[in-house]
Amino acid sequence: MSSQSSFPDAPASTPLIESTFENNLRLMWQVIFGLMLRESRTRYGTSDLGYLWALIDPAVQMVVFWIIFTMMGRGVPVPTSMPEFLVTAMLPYFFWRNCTVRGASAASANLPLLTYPQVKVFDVVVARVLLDAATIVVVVIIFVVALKFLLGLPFTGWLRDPIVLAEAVFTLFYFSFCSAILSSSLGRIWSQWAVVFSYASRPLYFTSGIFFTLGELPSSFRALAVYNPIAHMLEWIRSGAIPGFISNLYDPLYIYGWATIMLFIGLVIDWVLRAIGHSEESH
Amino acid sequence: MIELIDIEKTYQGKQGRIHVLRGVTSTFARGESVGILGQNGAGKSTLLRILTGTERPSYGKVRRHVAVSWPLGFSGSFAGSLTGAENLRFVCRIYGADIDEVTDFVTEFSELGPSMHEPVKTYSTGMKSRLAFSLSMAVRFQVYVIDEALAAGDVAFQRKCKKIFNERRSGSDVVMVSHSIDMIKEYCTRAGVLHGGKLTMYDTIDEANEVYMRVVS
Repeated sequence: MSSQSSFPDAPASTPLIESTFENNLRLMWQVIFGLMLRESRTRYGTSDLGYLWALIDPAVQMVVFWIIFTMMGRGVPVPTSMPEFLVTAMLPYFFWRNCTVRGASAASANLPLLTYPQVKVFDVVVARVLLDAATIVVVVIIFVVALKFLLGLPFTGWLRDPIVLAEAVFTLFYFSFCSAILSSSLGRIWSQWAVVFSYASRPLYFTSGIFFTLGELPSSFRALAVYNPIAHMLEWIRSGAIPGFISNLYDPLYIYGWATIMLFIGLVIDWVLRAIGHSEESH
Repeated sequence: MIELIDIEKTYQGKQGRIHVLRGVTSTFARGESVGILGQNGAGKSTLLRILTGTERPSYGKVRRHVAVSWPLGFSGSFAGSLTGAENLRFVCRIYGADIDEVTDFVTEFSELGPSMHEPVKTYSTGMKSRLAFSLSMAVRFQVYVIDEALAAGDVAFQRKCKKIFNERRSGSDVVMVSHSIDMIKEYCTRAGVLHGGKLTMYDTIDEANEVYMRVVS
C-alpha cells in the first residue's frame, strides 16, 4: 500500500455538465434507458419466471370469461371467435391499467434513485411505460401464435385494417403514457392515490367494452358508455383488428382530448412540485 | 463553481411546516474545499442534497457549473436483487460512463472479486460500502460531496480509500458536512457553520470551529 501504482487504472469518465439542448436530450435518454434495463431486472425479482405473469394473467382471465360466456350461452357480438374478441380488448385494457398503476408509485418506489439529480420522476414513468409497451408487444405475439396453433385462428384474422390498427395502437400508447404521467403526479401529492385508483378503476373493467361492443348496447346505456375514453379506445382497436367488424362509434378526437388534458394536468402538477421544491416521500 | 442564492427550504411535518434553511447564500468556488459544521438537525444533509441537485429549494436559486458527485459511498440506490456488477451498470448508464472501464476498476479496487456477480442482498455491510465507495471513485467529478463518512470497510481498506481520495482531490474540490473538525481540517480550505437555518462562512477553519463550539455549548 506504499506506491501509487497499487491502484487500478482509474476510469476517465467525466459526466456531461454543459447544459445544451442536445446534451440534455442525450442525458435524458441515457437515464430512461438505464432505468428501463434496471426495472426490467427488478420488476419481477430475479426469477425470469416472473415475466410469465404478464402472460398468465390475461390468459387465465380470457379462459375464465370464455367459459362463463359459453355457459351463459352468450354469443360473440362480432364475426370472430370469443378468444379473439376478449383478447383484443383485455390486453389493451391491462396495458393501460398497468401503466397507470405503475405510474402511481413511480416516485415513491424509486426514492433512492431520485438521489441522482438527473433522474426525474418523469423519466421513471417513461421507462416504466416503455417497458410495459415492450412486454405487451411480446405478449400479443405469443397470444396470436398460440391461438393460431390451438384454435386455428389465422394471422390475418388480427389485421382487418393494418393502418387503422396501427393508429389505434399508437393512440393506446399515447393515452396510457398520459394517464401514467397524471397518475404519477397524483401519487406524489396524495399518498392514498394508488389505493384509490385500484378501487375506483375496478368498475371500468366491466364498463369499458371488454365484454361488449358499443353497437350492441341499448342507446340509453350507450349514451353513458361513450363518456368513457377507454371504451372508445377498445372499440377502435377491435375495429382495426377483427375482420368483418367495422365500428364508427369511437371518436379519436375524444380519446386525444382526454389524453392531452391528463398529460397537461400531470405536467403542471410536476412543474409546481419542482418549483416549490417538493420532497418526495415513500408510502 | 456552485452558487446558492437565498435558499429557503421547508418541509411539511406532522405538526405544520418545518423551516430548515432560512436564506442561505454562498459561493463554492473552484479550487476551494468547504467544510460545513452543524449540530444534528441543523439541516446539513438538506443543504447537501440541494447542492447536489437531489432536492430543489422551496425558494431561491442554485447555479451549478461543475459536475457534482452523489454523496460519497451512497449505496441507497442498489437493488438487493441485482448483482454488484448490474447495480454498477445502472450508475454508469445515467452518468454516461464506460461500463467496462468502471467494472474493471471497481472489481479490482473494491476487492470484491467474484462477489461482484452475486446479488447485493447477499453482501455484508462492509462489502456493500466497499462497492459503493469504489463506484464513487470511478466517475470523475469536479466536486466530491461527503456526508459525514468518507472511508469504507476495515482499517486497511479505509487507508486505501483515503489514499485514492487524496489522488482524486488533486483535480477536484470537496464539500463536506461533518461534526468532526479533524476531518474538515484534513480536507477543507475553508469552513462554515450552519445554525438556525443560516450558513455563515469563516476565513479560517479554526474561527469556524470556535463559533461552532459556542453554538454547541
